[in-house]
Amino acid sequence: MDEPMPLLEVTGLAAGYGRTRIVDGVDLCVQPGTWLGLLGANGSGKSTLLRAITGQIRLQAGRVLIGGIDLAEAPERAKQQFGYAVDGADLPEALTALQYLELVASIRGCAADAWPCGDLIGPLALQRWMHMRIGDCSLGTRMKISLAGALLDGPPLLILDESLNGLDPVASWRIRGILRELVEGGHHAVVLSTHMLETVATNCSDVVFLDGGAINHRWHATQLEAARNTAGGFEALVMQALLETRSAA
Amino acid sequence: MLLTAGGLLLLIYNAVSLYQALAQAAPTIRALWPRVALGGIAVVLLVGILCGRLCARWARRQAQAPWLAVLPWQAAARARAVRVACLAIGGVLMPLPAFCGWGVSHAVAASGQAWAATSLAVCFMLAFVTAALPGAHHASEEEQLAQPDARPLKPALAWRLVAWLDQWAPRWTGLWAQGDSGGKLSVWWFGSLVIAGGSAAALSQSQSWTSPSVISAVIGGNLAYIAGLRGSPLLSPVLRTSPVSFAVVWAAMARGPLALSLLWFGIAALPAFVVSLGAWRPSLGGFGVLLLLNLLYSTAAAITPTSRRQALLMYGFALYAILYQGVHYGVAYGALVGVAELGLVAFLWRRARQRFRVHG
Repeated sequence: MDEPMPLLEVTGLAAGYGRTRIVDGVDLCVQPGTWLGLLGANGSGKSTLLRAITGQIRLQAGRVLIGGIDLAEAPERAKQQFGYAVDGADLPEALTALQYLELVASIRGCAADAWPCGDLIGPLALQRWMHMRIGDCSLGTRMKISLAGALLDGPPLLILDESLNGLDPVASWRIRGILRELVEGGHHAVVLSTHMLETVATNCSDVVFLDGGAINHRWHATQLEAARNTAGGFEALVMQALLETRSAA
Repeated sequence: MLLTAGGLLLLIYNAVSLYQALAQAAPTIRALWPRVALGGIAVVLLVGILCGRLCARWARRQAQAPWLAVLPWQAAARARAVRVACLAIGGVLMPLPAFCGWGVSHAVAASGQAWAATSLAVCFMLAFVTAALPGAHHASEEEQLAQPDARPLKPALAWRLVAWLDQWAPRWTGLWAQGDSGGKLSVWWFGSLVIAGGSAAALSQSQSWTSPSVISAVIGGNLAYIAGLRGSPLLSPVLRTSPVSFAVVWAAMARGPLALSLLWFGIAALPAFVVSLGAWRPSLGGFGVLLLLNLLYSTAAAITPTSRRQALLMYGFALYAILYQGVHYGVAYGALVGVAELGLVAFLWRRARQRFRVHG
């Protein structure tokens, strides 16, 4: 049986700012039905990698294919394949939450409530914020609005850069449930960069550990499954990797 | 880097041109020297006051930044820091009027070049300090609470008139662009444009002359465009990670201001038709000039999307270069510079598009 086309294929990626390389030699392959966790210390290059993958900074080397479409050759078509939850601070503060969702929907050519998992406003408790300026919303509410925008039209690949960090426990639980449901459906994949080991341990099917701008460790589904069977097993795996990296340095 | 070097070259070129023009007109200027000197001092005093006020406002804002506001910093100490900052900036700017004074007197071979330089520097600093220092005392808590960012967006009346254009994809981009900069299409500005247009129209009517009407239509239309256009969404990750092209985003931001600009042109150019139904050529020419001016400002706004002042400066310099060359070396030479600038416009558009798209 043929393997499905990867939703994200990164080959030999190098990226940074100006002449400085922040990430170098990164290879990634994300299949549908995968939840990839991106771990790493502060400054390890997680956000830079995601910015390069989403076309916000120029690639210094390598190639990014999204749903088989080269981001460099057809950026608009490639961007149709993913939803990116932008940082709350980068949302347009002058618009209301509803206007923001209408803006995203108008670009994607769908309705402003076309989520792949049913209504999101109620589960994320966004009703009272819909007609308020984003600039007046809290960090958590902004993240909810950003996530709702990323999920509009149900793009196959969802890219979240520490997007679950500012959420309240209920919203975080609900959004993780929605993402898990989508991934288990087999047509979507999630790439999540986070420091929350518990989220990674309980949700991710693959994990990469980034250090000094390069992938230092990879754990696949079977290794993660084995680690989950022991109390604190995944945390021990990550800490061991971190300590090995530090002692090698 | 390229833009800075280009701007610097343009500045040097203009300074040299100005020096040559002054040298050519030296006998006339020397004959009118007392008046020229008084005029120069008046201009320097005005510029000093303007710079002082701007500098004080800027320094006060810095002193009231959120990260400083939470520190136990006394109001008197804050005001002192603002004063020191203003004095330091004034000191840095002071050589500029001195250099101008020396340059002018040297160009026209007037006596007392050192005196001209010193007196202009002293006048500038006096005006600067007079305008800046009282402003430093206003660094109060009230001002701190009244930061413009905290105000809810209230789109101006003129903007609301064309808000329906924002309904097309990508929706609300114009409103976003207006709100992000904290600016809005000021009713005051729009009102002044209407008054200017009305006066020109009245003049056209009374003189049976079409030019004032067309000129005011072009200038007013361009000002309306400049007042409405802001390019800040071009840098946002929201749009840069969305499946939308640079051209579409740009069109979405420009459609509201362009509609206002054309509306203004239509209203102000109408007297030209009323006065003489056959006078469609000046209006058509004016319409073409308006589109070119709007394109020129669009380029400046696209290349400096976060700074309106930089965009205005870039636009002003470009316009000045065309007019200066046209007036001094003839229309053909001005047109040549205009064509060269169109090439520069194309290059800058490409740069702005590359920054938006990153790839390709």
